[in-house]
Amino acid sequence: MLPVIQEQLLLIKAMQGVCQTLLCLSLGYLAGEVLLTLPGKALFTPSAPQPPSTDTAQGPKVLTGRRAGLLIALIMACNLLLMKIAYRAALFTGPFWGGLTVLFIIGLALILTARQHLKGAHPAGRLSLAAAVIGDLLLLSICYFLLNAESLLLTPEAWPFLATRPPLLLSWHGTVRFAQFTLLALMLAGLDRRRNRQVLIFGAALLWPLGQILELLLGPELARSPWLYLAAALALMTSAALALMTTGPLLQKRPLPLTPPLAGIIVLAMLWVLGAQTARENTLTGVALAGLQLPPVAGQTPAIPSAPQTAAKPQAAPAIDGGQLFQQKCSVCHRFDQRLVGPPLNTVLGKYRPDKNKLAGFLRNPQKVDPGYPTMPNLNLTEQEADAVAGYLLDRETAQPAPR
Amino acid sequence: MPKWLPHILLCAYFGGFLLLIAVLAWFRPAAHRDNSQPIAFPHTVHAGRLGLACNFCHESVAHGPQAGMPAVAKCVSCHQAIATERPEIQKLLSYQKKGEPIRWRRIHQLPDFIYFSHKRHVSSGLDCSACHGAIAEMKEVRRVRSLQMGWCLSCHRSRGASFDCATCHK
Repeated sequence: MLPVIQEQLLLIKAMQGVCQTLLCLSLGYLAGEVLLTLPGKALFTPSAPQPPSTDTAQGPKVLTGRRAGLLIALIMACNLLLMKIAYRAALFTGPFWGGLTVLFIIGLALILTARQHLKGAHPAGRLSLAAAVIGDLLLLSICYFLLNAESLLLTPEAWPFLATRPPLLLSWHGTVRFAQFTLLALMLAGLDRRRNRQVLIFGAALLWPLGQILELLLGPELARSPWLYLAAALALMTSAALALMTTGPLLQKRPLPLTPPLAGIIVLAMLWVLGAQTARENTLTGVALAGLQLPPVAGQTPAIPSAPQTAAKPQAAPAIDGGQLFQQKCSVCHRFDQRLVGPPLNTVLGKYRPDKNKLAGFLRNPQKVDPGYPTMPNLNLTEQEADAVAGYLLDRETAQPAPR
Repeated sequence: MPKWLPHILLCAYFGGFLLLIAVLAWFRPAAHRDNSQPIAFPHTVHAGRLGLACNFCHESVAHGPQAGMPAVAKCVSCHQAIATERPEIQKLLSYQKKGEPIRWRRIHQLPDFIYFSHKRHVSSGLDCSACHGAIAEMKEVRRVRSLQMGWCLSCHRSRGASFDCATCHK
């Protein structure tokens, strides 16, 4: 990892969180809004003559046009890139993610064009209807895929097997996350003063706790920490606030003020993204990521041609400092002049004086010599290491003659 | 219908879920809380800094189904001289004095109906870290793999190991 990334990791993760929140909000709004507007506009306009067309149900004029599309696509690309930088997930290949982004942009373009038509005064044709439906499906399936990939980040143990078993990508955790995303989308679509859709917000807020609990239960055990539970509880409270906010207007059939629910939904989306990030922080630790590279199965992979090996050989091993190694591995049990766990070294080194290799051999494969002491453990020294330690011991022993 | 009724109902509904999360948080697996072992044995020192091989203490890992916990005598063979003044070592020595085994809390628990053998897995060339993670870097051991069937099967499939139910379910 580049040192810059290492230093700014927190910033990168924060940026990724912001990107994901923005993406989730804008996509949720687009997907939900288009789906809800479509039937009324495209299917029923021909039969039912519109009331004065100047005031027909024109949704709020947000996120329309080419610029919004470009912006969303940019955020999406940023999000993917930051995710890759921050978590170094080599889950799929670059072309794969590139293809996904292209599909995403196509879906986005379709939706935006369809919306352009829907906003227009003239009734929408079948073409824009089809564009909206296809675009919406494309976007939603990509979201489903991405959320599953995000969940897959939480289970590093599945990564090595992904290449042979792609279905591992899909998980119940990811599915629940997608359900939560749709709930967010519905809430955003419910923010419509003119058509009194606050029932959508209300219903989605009621369903939210179910998703939250399922997400907690389905997530890996390693991900659970007090912070994760706290994030879940906060999200739950936000959804409660949203539900309480909408009951009054719903029961009295008066329009809903827009700002407080919007703020609530934004907070909810942030907590949703933050929860996933917390889970990732808990799961993707060095201790859990170790050992993911499985050794080749014996007899299955052919031996690698010898060319790279001969190329690697000339790299002489760096000189090993026997003294340092002694301090690190041996000095816990051994002193030169006193008994600790093992015998004082000055009393036993003498017999190895003529043959350094014999000492190195003993260090690599210790045997029980004196019944008065426990057997020395095998410390798994390499040949060079044992040689270096043996050299150090004999040097040191000759340097200060032992009081026998 | 009184005006406050829906609000009360909503509060009760969400309060119930909040309570559920609190309960979940309270009863999360004890193995994931800190200091759950009778003696704070640091793998970071023994397997990490000293570089002792796993099978120096877990002797039967290559010979039988259980990796095996070292007998107190094994710990004491070194610790009769090393760091004897530390409180955790004092605890260890008191176990030896009483002649009691140490009741370690089990972290990697498999259900009763699973037959699992360390010997098989070690002899197939798997490194300990494949299933246990970087134990040498854990101050307190944590479970870093789910140990669930899907995970076992993924590995078995990718490495061409047995796919028969009776291999593990006996």
